[in-house]
Amino acid sequence: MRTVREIYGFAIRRRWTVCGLTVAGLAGYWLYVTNSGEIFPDAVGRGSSPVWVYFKLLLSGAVFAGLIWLGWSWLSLRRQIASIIRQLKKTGENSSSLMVRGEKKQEWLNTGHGARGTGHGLVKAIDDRLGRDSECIKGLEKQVEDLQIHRRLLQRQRQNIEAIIYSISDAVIAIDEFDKVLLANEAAGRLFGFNHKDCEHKKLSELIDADKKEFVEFLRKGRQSKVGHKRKEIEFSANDNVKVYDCIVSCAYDASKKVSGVIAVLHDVTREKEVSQMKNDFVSHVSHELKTPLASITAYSEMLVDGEAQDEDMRKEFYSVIQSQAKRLNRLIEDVLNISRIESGMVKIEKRPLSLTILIEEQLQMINTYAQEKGIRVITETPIVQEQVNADRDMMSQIIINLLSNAVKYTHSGGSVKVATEVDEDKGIVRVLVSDTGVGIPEDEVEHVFDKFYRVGKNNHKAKGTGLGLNLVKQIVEKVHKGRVFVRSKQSEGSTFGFELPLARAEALKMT
Amino acid sequence: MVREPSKGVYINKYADEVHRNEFLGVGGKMEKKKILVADDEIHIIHVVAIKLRNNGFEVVTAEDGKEAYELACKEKPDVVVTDYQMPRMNGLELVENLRQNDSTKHIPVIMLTARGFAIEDDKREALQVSYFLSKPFSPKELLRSIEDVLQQSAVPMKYTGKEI
Repeated sequence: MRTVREIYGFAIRRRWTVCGLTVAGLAGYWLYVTNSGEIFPDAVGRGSSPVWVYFKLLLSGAVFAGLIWLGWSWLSLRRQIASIIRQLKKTGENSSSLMVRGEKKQEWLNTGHGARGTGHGLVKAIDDRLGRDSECIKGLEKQVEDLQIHRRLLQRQRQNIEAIIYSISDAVIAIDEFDKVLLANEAAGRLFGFNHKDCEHKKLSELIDADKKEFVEFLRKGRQSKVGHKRKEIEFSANDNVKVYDCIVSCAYDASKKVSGVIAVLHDVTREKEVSQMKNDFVSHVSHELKTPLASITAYSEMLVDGEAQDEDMRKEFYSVIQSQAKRLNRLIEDVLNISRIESGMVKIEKRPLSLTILIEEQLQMINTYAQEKGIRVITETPIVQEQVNADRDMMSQIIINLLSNAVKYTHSGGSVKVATEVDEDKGIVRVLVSDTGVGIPEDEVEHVFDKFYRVGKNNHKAKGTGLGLNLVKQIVEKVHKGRVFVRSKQSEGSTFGFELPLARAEALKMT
Repeated sequence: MVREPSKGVYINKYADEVHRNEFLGVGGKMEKKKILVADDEIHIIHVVAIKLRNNGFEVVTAEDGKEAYELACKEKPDVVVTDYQMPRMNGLELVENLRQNDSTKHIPVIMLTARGFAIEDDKREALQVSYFLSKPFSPKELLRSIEDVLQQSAVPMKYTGKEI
């Protein structure tokens, strides 16, 4: 079989040689036959045996038949190849082949030198096709990879944006045009009492309680009005305390400039409101406090001008009232300025180690005359503390005199004022206590005595005051010296005011 | 009567000495008019009391709103002069209380205040406060206002809270 195939293969390969030889043979034979004029008798006459002639005839017939078979088989092979090309073309229709059909055919023909050449061409074509297909697949794979990277990038961006929105301390809610939530952050969840992680695509009215309807309405109005931004202060009550939120609603527009959603940002302004209220109160309070001595001054001076004071004594009294009220006015202004300086941190503070006991001794000498006039005993308790604190001398003198003069002011004649200092080694603090046997403070008012302008109503008429002295003490001790003020009081039995300051060495230890 | 706004106060231009003596009968047959003065500032009470006594009024004083109310019920003054800001009971609360009590609801009130703006107009009307004098005030002006109020109440038909 192998031999047959080899011969066949050889015949196929050398088909033009075989064809040439056959044609040459046939032509020779034809010349030979036509030259003689007769076929068989002449041939016999020229010494050729009929067997030989017959053999030659047979041979040329066989060669002729072989030629026809060869041609036929070659044609059929071409047909087969063409059909394979078509088949391949069909499968590779989507591939990005640059070759047009004619060129491809040409290529197939060019490679087709004999049957084996044709086979080679086919293999090459298939290889090429596979190569192109794999290239195409590689391209697709790259595209897929690119898309995946892109997707991850988008995911990352989304996560970043979500992280930003979630981390905002203001409540943020975005809704679509059907009032369904697109996004809400944790602060919003906390404010309205829902889980911000699974609020997406839920109706706003389902998520938010009925008592916060004002906000829902405002959001809806903001969407319907189609105005860029809307702002409103809305109050929300939660756990008995009312919080004020500055609510800004902004519309989001799509490409055709239609409102596609609304974003609401709610900022808690409760504290700001309180501060501004406090400032307003402070201003109105200060003006009232300033007007009170001013009212006395103007009234008394007018009386003097109008000659309403009948005698010299009354005139003198009027003059002294004017004088004392002018002093009070000045003191008040000083106190207000001092407090505002301390609050704004504009006051110059010179802290250096000093002994409180020595300071107290100094101030006691100043207050003693006043106390003696009123018939009040001032007692200093031993042991004298020599421990030092880091403090501003002038400020310390101010608060000690404030506490001492308060104690004397609100104590009846015959009472006593006691000053004591003690050191708490464990806490590293020194404590100063000023106790009196005076009028005391009603229980419900004790906590307010350090407030600005607060004056205990019942004791108001007993002594003059600006309502700023104790606030100044608090500011100096707590704000400037990081200490603590405290008060204990019982009505009509007396009060104890005091403050604690860290010891200088305890502070030094903390530093190291 | 001519109404002339001056620091939010209406002044009766004709309330001169003659008018006052006629209406109030100072030194005459009529008995002294009683004025209740309430203020937590002792100096103010003092100066107002001197001014009013010098001009022939009887003066009772109180140092806070509660005391003033109790005194008003007891003494039945002809006019109440009160400060706005006072301990225990402020001026407005005092007027509210006076208006609720049958025996005191007709008493005209003059309010001294450093913050007149803090009181809304409709409240002023409802409480029928005759005058608001802003601090610092002039004792002369106060005296004129008191006379004015007394003059109005002397002719009850004409007295309406709305006028003010």
